[in-house]
Amino acid sequence: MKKLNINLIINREDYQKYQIYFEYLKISLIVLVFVFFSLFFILFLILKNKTDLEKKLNLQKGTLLEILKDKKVDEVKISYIGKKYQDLSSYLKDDAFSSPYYAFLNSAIQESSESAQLETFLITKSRDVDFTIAFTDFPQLMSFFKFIESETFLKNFETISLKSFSVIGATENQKENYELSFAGKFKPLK
Amino acid sequence: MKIKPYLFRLIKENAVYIISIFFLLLMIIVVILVGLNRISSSVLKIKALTNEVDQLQKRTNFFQTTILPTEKLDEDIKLLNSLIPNIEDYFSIIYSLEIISQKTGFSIYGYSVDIGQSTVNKLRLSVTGSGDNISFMKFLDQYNFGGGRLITSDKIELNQESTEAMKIDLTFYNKDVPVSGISELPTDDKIFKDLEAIKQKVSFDFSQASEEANLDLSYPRKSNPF
Repeated sequence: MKKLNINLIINREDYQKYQIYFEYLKISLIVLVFVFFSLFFILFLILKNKTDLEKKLNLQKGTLLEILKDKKVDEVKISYIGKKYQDLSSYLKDDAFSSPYYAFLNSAIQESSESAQLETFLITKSRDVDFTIAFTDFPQLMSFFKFIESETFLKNFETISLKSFSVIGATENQKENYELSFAGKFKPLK
Repeated sequence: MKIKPYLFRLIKENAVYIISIFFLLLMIIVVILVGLNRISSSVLKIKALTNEVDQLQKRTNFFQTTILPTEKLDEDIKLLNSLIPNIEDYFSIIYSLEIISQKTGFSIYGYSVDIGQSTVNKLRLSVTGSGDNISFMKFLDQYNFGGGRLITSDKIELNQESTEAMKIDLTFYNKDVPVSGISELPTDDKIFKDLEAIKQKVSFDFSQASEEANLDLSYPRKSNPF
């Protein structure tokens, strides 16, 4: 026979325990309703904010495009010039830009000694330099040594060293000659 | 496992709450997923739009701060197409060497193409010339732009004993730049100032080039003399 009634006296504590759980369930429902609406509201606000920003940016884009409408042809030309100029700049990196370095060395030598002459000059695009200076007068050679050790001369080089020193004996047609060979690297000229 | 009868009764009594909780949890998950999805797509759209607007703003600012008449732009294009033609033009190489020679007094009387060091966009010539110290200085000063073509030399060697026949390696460039589309515009007018400075060094006749100067921004090709 089917049992219709529940005997609460036997399992009273157990029943109360479950009843409390179900009370918690009701409270959870209220909390969840609150969470749901809060979440909905927060997401709505965030989305509204984003949509407003999108509209504002679209409007801004439209205005700017309107301003640039008449400049289309000029823009294509400027863009072309920009690309060609970029190529020009990158190709110029392959150049030794020897002129200012050669001029500097030439004038520095002439200032330091009257008999000194730049015999050979080699410069690469990485500013590595090799040069030979010839003298016909020994005291002038000595004074040149003082000059090349001065800050005025050395400040233009990252590195510089004396590669060789040679004396070419006097002949019938030529006086005794002294040659100094240097190797180094120029500092970039500003 | 058998459900206790009072528990079953409690479930039955609170069925509405239980269903509501499941429904609400489901709704919360759906709202979070849909919301986050829409926010992330909106963020991406805003990012793309912001970039686009930034670019447009830069372009607008450029035109507001830099006044560049169309004629000047055309001149600059002609200058650049002369310095770096879209297609190699051998006549202009010979012509530019001749011009530099006349301008500097450094006489160029021979040249040979260094095939090994040349590429599609670079033509390397070994040039033989002679001149005194002053003309050589002038040559060093002017060879980059003086002939109307961009010329570089990665190594310069001078020997006083052999000024009768100095050999210099010169590189000429060409590059086809497509006209299509607008890439990033310059942020200031430095390019145009630099080009003005180059124009001073180049003897370039813009009026002569005007017929050939290209609305399609391409350099006119002359036939190969070799």
